[in-house]
Amino acid sequence: MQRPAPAKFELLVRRDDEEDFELRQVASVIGYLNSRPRRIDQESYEISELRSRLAVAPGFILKNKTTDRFLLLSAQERFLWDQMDGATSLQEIATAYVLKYGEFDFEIIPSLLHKLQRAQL
Amino acid sequence: MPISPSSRTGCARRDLRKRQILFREDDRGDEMFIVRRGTMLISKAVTGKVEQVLVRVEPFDFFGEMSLFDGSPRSATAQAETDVELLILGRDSLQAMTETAPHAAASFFHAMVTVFMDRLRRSTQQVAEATRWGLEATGLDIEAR
Repeated sequence: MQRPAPAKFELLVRRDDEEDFELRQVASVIGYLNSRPRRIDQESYEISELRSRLAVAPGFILKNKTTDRFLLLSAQERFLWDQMDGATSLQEIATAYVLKYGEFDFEIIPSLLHKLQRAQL
Repeated sequence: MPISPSSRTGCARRDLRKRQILFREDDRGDEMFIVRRGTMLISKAVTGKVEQVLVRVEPFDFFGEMSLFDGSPRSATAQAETDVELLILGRDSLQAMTETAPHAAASFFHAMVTVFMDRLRRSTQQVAEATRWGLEATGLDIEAR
């Protein structure tokens, strides 16, 4: 099934002259980029490095202490997790990711957000 | 369904220049308006100087009827998007039409009900669209939960 086009709001923004205005269409994707994900309180989770001789890349175990749910995070996901402080927007997080890793994976942020939401993290 | 008032209703006429505000949200009012020419923007305050455009009212459609019927303050702001020509229908004109031309009044009210139903459907759609906007903007994946 084809995904519907992103939802849009039409907003009227008044200028200083009360009658003057500008019409703006705001797509949900703008809201998404400006959203500021916040991880749960520090007391509610534990994160530790996964130490295994079999592991080819560094990994991390993230535990929700309230629900006892675990998530396995890659180093890149751990980096993104650390950025999710409720003050940094997704756009800023993506920029920080590009600056650190020199590339961008378009799926990594939405996919991590879904994993975190499912684990209530 | 567009509404085409008879000249026998004795509607007054009013012209608005582009961007002129006819009334603001919370103003008092007891008239409804029928657009003869141009486009009106109906918007509702959201925050600060930002309003959400609820609907554009095109020729032969009407607005402002809620205050006419129940005397409540205006629920939204009405502003001309273009130069506009309006017909004004007040409580007295409506009463006069009901008494002097009951068949025309019946047709008029029937047309209004049809428009109300259309607006109700549109509002329901707007609520669903606003919910979709919120889900998309927050990245909430309800289906996966």
